[in-house]
Amino acid sequence: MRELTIKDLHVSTEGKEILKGVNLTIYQGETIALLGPNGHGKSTLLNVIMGHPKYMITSGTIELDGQDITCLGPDERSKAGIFLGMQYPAEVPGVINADFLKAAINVRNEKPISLYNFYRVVDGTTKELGMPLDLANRFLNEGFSGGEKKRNEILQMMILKPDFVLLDEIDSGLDVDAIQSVANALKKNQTPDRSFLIISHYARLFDLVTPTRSLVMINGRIVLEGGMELIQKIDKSGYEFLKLEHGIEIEKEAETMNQISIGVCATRERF
Amino acid sequence: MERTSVSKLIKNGELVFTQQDSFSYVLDSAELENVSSLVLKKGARINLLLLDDAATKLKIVLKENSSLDFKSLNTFEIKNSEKTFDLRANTELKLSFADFSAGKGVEKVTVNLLGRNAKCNWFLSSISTQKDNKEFKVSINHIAPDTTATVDSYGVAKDESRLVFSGVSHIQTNAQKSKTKQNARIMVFSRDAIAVAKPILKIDENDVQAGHAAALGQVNEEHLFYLRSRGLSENEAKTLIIMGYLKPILRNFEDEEIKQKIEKLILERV
Repeated sequence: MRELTIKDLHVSTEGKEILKGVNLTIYQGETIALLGPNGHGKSTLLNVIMGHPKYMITSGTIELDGQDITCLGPDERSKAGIFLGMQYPAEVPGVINADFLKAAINVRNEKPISLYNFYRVVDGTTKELGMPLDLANRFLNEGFSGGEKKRNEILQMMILKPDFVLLDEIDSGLDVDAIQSVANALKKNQTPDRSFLIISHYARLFDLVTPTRSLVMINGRIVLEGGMELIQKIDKSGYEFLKLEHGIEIEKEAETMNQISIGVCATRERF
Repeated sequence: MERTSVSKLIKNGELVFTQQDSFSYVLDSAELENVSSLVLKKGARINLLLLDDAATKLKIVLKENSSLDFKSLNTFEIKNSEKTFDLRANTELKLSFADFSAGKGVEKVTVNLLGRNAKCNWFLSSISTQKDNKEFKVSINHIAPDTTATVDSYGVAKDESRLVFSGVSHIQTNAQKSKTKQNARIMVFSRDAIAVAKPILKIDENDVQAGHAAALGQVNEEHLFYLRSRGLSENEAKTLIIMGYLKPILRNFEDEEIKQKIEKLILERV
């Protein structure tokens, strides 16, 4: 029985502490709804589990099946069965979707997948998600609408078949039909050997996908656990009740001045 | 890849193409050994692929209404070289350089847009590795009105190499309604690699369009994370990214064999 355990995790980035002692165990077969206002660490938690280099673990561990994975790179965590559907999937210029998917599949198999099987899998999954069939030949996420990018994340999840699926606002930017097709795909993939940790602000997705438990994250910690009733309560009246019923103060972010740049011709940038 | 010999077309160090000559040629350095200038007579439309261009000094003239699609694939030693292109009215020049050369050298390319409506597009994909020290100096002179030029240079600098993209795009007085654009981008792969971009614009006329852009930096961390989060190792991810970055030049080469050769070269160097 697989298990992903986070023990007293403290994480900082750019000198600021974001996760302030997260404790969580994801059991095999669960679907967990992760709720909470923006800026309180939900996205950070998912990215840290996947191994994003910009986050530094200052204390605590992440254990997969009892083994500490904090020293593993994102590729090794992916091969171990973890998948992250990102909030803002990267547009990687010049990299063809098909080349990327094939490489991701081949990393997990002893023999490289045959072209025939590859296109069989990709076309089948693409059709199921209602995505354009020329998807495989386009550049990775380039020119994709927000909704298409999110569905491309689900496409990859369906092809790679991970055991722990982390979804960061998979429904944002999707219209009603798209949410339905994503939810259908998720439901089909909610098998006893697969766990989901889903961040969303909309009760609608959870109506369709039915979580087994719900967690609320405030101030970089998980503060509350419940069932569907928690989702419905937050959907109806927001997070105010946390202070009234549980004495939890929601720290507001200090407003920082936006830096203004007067256009330059040359940039030192990340491509 | 069939090769048509150009020796019949060479006279006194001058290689002349006319409208009657067949469309495509593949040349290697041996054939151009005694050639110091290339002339396209009026109306000539020529497609030239230069393999391992060892020409150190070459002058190319495009007479009125002619067009030249000049492709160069360099895999050996880079040499200091100077190529000057003189374009008369209504001519079109397309320059595609796939550079996998090694060593130290400066390749200087100057395009003079001498006649009205002359047009030039330059495209470079270059990799520098080990202790390479390479500079591409691409200058465009807009002398006649209604002339257009674009310069797009893409590079990858690895190990302890140095890669420089420089050049001046000059719109001279009386070259009204000219358009010029310069784009220099270099991706740096190691702490010791050096990338320099100096796209300079000199504008001496009012009614024109001009722009330049330079971007230097490391591989985008978000892109790297995205690919790695799907199981690709850091090396595999970087390779895919560099391939994607340099591959667009393949669109300029029609020959399948050459396309595959270039792709293989990119993979090797990466």
